[in-house]
Amino acid sequence: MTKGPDATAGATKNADRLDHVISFPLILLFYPDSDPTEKFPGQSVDLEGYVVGPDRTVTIAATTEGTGALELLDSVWNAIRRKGVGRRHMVVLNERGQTVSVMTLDVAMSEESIRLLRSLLIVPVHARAGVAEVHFLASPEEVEVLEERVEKGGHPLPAPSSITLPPARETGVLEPEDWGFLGLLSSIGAFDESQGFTPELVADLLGVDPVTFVEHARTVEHDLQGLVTGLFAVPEPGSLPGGLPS
Amino acid sequence: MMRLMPTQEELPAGSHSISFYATRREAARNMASFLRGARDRGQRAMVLTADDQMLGLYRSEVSTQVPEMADSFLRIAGPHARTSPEGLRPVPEVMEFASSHPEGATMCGDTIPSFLDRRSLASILVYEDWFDSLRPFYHRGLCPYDLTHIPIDRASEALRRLAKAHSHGVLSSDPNPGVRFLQLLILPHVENPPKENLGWLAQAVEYGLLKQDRTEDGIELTPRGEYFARALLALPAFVRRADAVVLNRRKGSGGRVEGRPPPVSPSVG
Repeated sequence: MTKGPDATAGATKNADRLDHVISFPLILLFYPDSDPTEKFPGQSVDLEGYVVGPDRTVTIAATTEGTGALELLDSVWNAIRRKGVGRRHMVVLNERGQTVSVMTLDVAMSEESIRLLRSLLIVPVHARAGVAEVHFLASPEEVEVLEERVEKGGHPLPAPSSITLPPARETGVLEPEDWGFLGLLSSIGAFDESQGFTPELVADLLGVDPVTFVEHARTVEHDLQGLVTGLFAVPEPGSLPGGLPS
Repeated sequence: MMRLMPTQEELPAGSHSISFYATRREAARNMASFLRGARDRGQRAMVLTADDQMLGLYRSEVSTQVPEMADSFLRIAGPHARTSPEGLRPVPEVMEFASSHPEGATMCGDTIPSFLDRRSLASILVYEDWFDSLRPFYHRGLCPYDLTHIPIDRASEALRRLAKAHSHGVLSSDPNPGVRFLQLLILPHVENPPKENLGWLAQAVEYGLLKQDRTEDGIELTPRGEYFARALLALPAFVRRADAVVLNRRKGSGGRVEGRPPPVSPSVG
């Protein structure tokens, strides 16, 4: 659970990247099984965050709410297990009343795919009606690679469709994977005192070594302070983006 | 629109004001400032609190800054706004004090932050709207809010509505950047936003932490902005606790950090 070694080194600057959105049919993840969310029409699932383990497993936090939340997340987990990639699963009720499923997946991704995930994927990922809307912060070249990797794989299934939005916003020194980490901690309620989480309990929940987890948290906290410095150091005040009330 | 004031002392007669804080110390300093304003205007004051520790802090600040107002406190049991068929309403002591001082009095109940949560938020916002509808009056009313206890996922709506339900406001001066960041949500509803803060607001929109609210004339947190706010408010302390974990491990104690276990249920896997 360290920051990706090549997530920043020599990578494209965020300012040169575009917000690229791929509408990804969930059936592609579960084929030849059916998409487990089909049984829950009208209910959405959000992938709020993730962290990549040293063994290249990926731990994700998915939230949903309302009646049937637990059933929906269990269906997703069972489908993941049937695919043979589910390693560990815990369920948390966060302070907002959302059911959070924390799943560790052994997806056997290549090092390059892991690098793409860590440096490009933007959380949260919103999934509804069988389609996940996946945002990537990517350069045109990276978009090409992404599109190759998310192709439908020769199955008679709907292919992902993608659009590219205007240039992505500069987000300071935090990389997409840092936001993924913050999103994961935020979704499980680790930042809410009333939840009673200690760093060691969070490490247990994620199934990682506490010392490694703490080192990672400290790195992200350091980067967060860098973003704070950028945010609150504005030389020319009063220039609001178009249309913003002042 | 709400008018920002530099200190609680300057909140004028006829105002229904909101004052943000992030620590109990800051809340106590704010209260002493508010009571200095009462003294300077020759107003009687009543501050209702249900928190003994807070009462001690108030008395300590007031005894050094404005000792003439030391008898302004009233310890009550429970919230100063209670359920009635019409919604939340102040306890009788508040209305009696106000009506016995038609020339104007200074009043504050500090209990809302201690029972504000996701379930009570809606009724509190309705209460603030109702209280504001009592103006014009000659009184000075103050509502202290702890910014660190406003549910982040409801912060955009809560701060917009709180700003609209008060005539005057005083921002927290706490150095926590999370506090500074959350206060940006108030700016579109303020008639005199500080220029420096407007610059921060523009930057936060640029960073994708805030976005224009589609249905209202305000702004709201993006999902990333929510993560950011939660992390800013909690991550430094979280990392400090985490350092203790590392220390324990390195000492070879393997010591589990004590704490109430979170609501976690292991599942198959």
